[in-house]
Amino acid sequence: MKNNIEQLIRAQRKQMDVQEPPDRVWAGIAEALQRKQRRRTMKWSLAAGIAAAMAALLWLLPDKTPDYRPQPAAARLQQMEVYYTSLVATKRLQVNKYCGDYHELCNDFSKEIDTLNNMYQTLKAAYKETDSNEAVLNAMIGNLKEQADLLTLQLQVIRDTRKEQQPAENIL
Amino acid sequence: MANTNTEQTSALIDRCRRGDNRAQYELYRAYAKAMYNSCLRITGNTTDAEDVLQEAFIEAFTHLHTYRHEASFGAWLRRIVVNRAVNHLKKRKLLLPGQLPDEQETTEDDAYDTDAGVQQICDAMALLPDGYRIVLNLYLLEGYDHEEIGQIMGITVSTSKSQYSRAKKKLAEILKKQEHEKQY
Repeated sequence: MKNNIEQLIRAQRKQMDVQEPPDRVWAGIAEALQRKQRRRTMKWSLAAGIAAAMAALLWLLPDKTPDYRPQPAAARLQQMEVYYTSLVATKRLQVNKYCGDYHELCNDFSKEIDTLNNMYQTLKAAYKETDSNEAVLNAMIGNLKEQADLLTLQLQVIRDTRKEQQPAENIL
Repeated sequence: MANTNTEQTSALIDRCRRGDNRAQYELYRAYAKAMYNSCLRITGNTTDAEDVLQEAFIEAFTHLHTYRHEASFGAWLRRIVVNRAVNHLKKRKLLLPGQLPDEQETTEDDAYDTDAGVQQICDAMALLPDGYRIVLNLYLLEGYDHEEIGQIMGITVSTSKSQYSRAKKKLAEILKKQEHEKQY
């Protein structure tokens, strides 16, 4: 028996969904979701770092009384500060290397990194004003660690993106 | 049974909102096939359909917090898929309101009766011009009314109605021609 086209199509609606999407579609979705998750984590850890640095500053700045207590760990802390300063500088150079090709990814966190760096400069000034207060030095090291972590994550995102775009090439 | 499915879907959605990757995959598996076929029918090719499906699911997962259970999850997801597919064609300049075929000569009556099979109908629909194919799909297969189609495609309700009417006539014409060729 013959049927009207409209009725026929409606009746056969379910039988029309026969094609299966290839596995690469899910692979692309999973990869994009992971990348978004990493960025979210990065921004949260950054916000936490900035909040911690600001709290340290607020707590330390009003007290400009020189601390004459013995500071046995000062030398070790100063060494750590030098180490993390150099680590941040190295990672900045690594990120900058890709900025020409991945301008958007590079800019993605530059504002946050600059904020952390400004915070670090303020802490550094406070460190001098407070006659090498150990707590300020600790806050400076914490700030540098945050910067290094952020730059590491940024590098990872750039590398992942690069890998997706140039799967056949030798990455880094 | 329907309630159980709805509860299972709600539970999956809650897990997805908490970032559970396994739940995201399960939700994808539950809806991917139907959505992929909708994409295929609208875009008319597998490459575009895959791109649209991927973009639509990424959008759905990242905006899952905006889903308020006002409609079924399938209907909410389908709207994202359909909007993405139509916008994809618009971006590629394959479909602009001004490019909708509006005065093609169609002589066949849309009340034409046929015993064509699923494959035959799908093949004939694929031969329709983009505008006809999309309006016919959205109305007949995706279940949207002309007002919704107007919003999705950026056309008026009356344009949607006339496109649909012409699409049916054109489809009847193609099917009749195919049946005629089969006989001789």
